Amino acid sequence: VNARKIGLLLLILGTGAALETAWAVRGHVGLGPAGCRVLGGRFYGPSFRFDAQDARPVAKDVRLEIANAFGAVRVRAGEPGQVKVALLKVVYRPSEEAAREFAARIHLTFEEGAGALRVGTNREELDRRHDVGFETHLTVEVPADAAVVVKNEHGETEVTDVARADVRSSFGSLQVLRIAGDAALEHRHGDVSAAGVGGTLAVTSRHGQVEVKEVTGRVTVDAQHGDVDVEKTGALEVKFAHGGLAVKGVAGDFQSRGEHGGVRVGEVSGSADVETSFGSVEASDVGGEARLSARHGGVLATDVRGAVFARASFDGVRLEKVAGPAVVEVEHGGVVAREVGRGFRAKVSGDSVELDAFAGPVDIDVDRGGASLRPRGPITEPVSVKTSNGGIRLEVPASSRFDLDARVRRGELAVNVPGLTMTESAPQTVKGALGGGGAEVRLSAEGGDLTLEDARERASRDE
Amino acid sequence: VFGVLLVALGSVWLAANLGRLDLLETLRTYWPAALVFWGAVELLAVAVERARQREVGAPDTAGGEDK
Repeated sequence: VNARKIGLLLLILGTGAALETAWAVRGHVGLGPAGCRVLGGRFYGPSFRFDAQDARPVAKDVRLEIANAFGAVRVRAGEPGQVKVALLKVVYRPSEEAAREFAARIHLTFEEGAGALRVGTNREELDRRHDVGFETHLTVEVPADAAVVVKNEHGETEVTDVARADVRSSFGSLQVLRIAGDAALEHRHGDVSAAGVGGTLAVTSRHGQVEVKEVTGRVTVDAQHGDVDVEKTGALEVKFAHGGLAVKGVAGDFQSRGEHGGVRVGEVSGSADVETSFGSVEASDVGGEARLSARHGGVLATDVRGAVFARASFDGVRLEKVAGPAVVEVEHGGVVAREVGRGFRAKVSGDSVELDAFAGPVDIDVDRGGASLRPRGPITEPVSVKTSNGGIRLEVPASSRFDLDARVRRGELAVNVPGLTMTESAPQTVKGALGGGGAEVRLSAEGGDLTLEDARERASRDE
Repeated sequence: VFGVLLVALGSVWLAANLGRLDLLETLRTYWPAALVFWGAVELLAVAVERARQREVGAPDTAGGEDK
């Protein structure tokens, strides 16, 4: 037998070994809390289910502490004065007899003390003595006026219709519904859902989505690595990272601090204070002032009844229907603002500013961009616009009253405003007064044209 | 032999892509057939070589091994 044939034989045998291995582990590959399933974890192979139940009387005002692991915990309202627990045991053993024998060792535990009734299983003791995989699923019925504390790992957790809830859980979903008072939830590696909380709500989440709905009191959310969706709450405070935030309906003030995620917020009765990075901010229907900041993202604000303070970089700012004054800072982006009611101040670099239907004083400084301004009514308040490497265009409505100081460098200056009395007119400078003078209008364009034109003429030309 | 191998492998892969068979299950089940097939070819080669030697009256040197 020559070397070539030996090589071919080894190739065929190697391929066969690879195929046999792939076949053996097919559908059973996975690393998780139950162990390495390729090698066969404790929670692997045939399993058998067994039921048990127990009950204990419980006095009013006794806190119920429920602890579990590797199984679901479901807490719901039951009869007053007693705690009723149904236990589903799932035992991983090769035969039903072996599973039944082991299941007989699993039982519920009840411990009273320090104003609390602790409900759980003897899992810890069994885990220490035996290397057998088993799940314990608890369904607990408690008095509706009970305060409940739940600790669960590696299983779904659900708490409904109790007075108060304090839940710490991981690896599974967490759902909390219809809590009469306060709720505090801490969850890792799974989704969190809370709805119908009558008091305050605090949620801490890592690696999962968070959904909060209909909370009467104040809500605080601290979430990382997952999207956050909040609807109809009291005052809201959110800290988030690596996920988006969507908020709709806040009765009170809203504040969020985030990283690596966009924010969309609407229907806030109070103020909105939003900071994020690597994502945009969209705010609409805000009753108070809006402070919106996005690093490496844009800002969009519409229907704000207070002031707007917007900061953006590497994207633009867009404002629509702002009743109060607007203050804008943008790096590497432009600004489009329509219907800003009480003045506009902007420091912008990288793109142009377009200001339409504005009222109030204006102060704009643009680097590497132009500015275009169309007032809503006569100009009677100060306007200051300075651009570098961009032009300026200002429409002057009828009945405007101001003192003009317009200058250009490396550009053309065109002034076409009927009634303007010029005190100085040169190719690069025009000074004068309109309507007898009034507020100062100072326009300075470097590296661009400067145009003042009559708004009526512009309107007729557009028509 | 190489051509037959290519046709077989291509047919199996194509059928798998068309959803007609489970590729892993098929390969895992039939891979020993490659050894059977190869062994059969070797035996056939020995038989043919012996027959040829008998015809020409030369000493029998066939044994499935290369010289």
